Amino acid sequence: MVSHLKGCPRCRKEVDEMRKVIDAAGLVKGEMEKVIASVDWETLPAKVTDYVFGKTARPHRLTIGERLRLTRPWMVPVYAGLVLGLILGSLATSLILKRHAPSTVADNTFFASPEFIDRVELEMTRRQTLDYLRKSQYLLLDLAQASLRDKGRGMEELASGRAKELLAKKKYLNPQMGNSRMAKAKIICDQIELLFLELSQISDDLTGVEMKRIQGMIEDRRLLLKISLVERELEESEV
Amino acid sequence: MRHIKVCIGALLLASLCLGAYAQTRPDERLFEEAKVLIFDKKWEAAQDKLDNLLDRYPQSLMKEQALFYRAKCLSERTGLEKEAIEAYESYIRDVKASDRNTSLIEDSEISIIDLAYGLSEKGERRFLDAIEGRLGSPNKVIRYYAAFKLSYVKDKTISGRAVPVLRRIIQSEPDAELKDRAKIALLRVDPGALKAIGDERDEQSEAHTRILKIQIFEGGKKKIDINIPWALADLALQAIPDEEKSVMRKKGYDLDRIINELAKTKSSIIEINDADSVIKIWIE
Repeated sequence: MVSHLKGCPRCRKEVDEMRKVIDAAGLVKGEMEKVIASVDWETLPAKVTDYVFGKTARPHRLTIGERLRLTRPWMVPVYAGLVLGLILGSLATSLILKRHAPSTVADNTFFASPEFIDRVELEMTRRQTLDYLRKSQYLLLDLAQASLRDKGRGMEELASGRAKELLAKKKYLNPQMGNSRMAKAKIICDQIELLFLELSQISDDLTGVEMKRIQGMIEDRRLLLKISLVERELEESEV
Repeated sequence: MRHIKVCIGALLLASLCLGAYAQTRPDERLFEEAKVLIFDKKWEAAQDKLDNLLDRYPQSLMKEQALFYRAKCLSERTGLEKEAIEAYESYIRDVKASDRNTSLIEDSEISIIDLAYGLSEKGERRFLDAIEGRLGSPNKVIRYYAAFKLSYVKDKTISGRAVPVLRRIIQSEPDAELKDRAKIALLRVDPGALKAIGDERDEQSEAHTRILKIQIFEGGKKKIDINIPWALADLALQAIPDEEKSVMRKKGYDLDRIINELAKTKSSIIEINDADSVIKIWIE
């Protein structure tokens, strides 16, 4: 609130006014309590009218003692208290009605519970895993369809470069991969990661045997099919 | 006659394959078998193959890679975390400069961070030094990963050491995903530091300091109270618990509609009332 007040002259002014009013109320508080206890609230409206306008006509005849109490100078704080009450009430009402949002004077720092932060991070991991799987799928498709004719056309280098990028991306997903919601995705992502580790070590000397072995792993484990299934699951399972 | 030709053909093919197989060196064969086992997550069997290779063929060209994969097998086996860290460290230390494979080195460093964090969670806090020490790594991936991982440590005096790296990611990293990750990590460790970065940028642009506020009341009590950077708005709204999300959907609000409404009328509040719950979302 303090930091907000520093930057908001309108609210600062309102708080200053409130402070003045509260200080003024504090001066007469003790006396006010005694006097309020002694007031006859039934006859008070008539007494106030008489006192202010000095009229002779009264709704009922007051005893001499009552009349003396109402007109004596120490009754002034009672009326002052009533007026202050009205001012305070209207100020509070205006403050409440003026708010656009529940806590405009609230603390403007960031905060969220650790559980909520975990949920936010899990949601981010879900989206990034989907992206990782899609990119991996393209690369694996390229590899699965590559033939020996492609050798020497830069395919190995390209695949190796893309594999390195995806390996780096996967590392940042790891901390949230232990979550049960990501269990299936973790299995497939780990397998892809191992394949990419292989690919990342290949420069331009990918032999036919190595290519066949990698293609064999993609086909035997039905990696492309599994990726599609996990992708669909992740799309549906928003946090 | 046709059958005989087919049989001869098959025999010829088989003999060729066998010949090719026989040509593969025994250390290579062991290594390939180990990798297939690793692919299928049969860690113990794979480690046996690799130990065999390293014992029988100490001069093998596969030695460096075999050391790396052996460490990987150890890291996946429960209770062998310390041995795995030693194996990775030994691989990083001993691998010849000419053979240094950046992907394998990077993977080893990241695995050490993960293993060290796991051990620290089990009470062996001395392993946190292994993570902290990597905050100064010249390799960006290792440095960033160490900072992200350290942000999970509950002791704020330790997790706070990741703040300078996290701040630098937010300020200078071009990758939006990494920036968002750093914001979340900073929100976990030191929300004040995240605000300070916003304030520094505020001198140039107001958009950076906008805060998304979400309050959810259930039965009159505040259930959720969040102040989160506007940049993470869609993630935060997606992370609202399922119960409240279904209330929002029932009232015709989806993620896109909320984001659009908030972006259009910056100061107004979206208030969704249901029988027992009230959801308030606005920007400041």
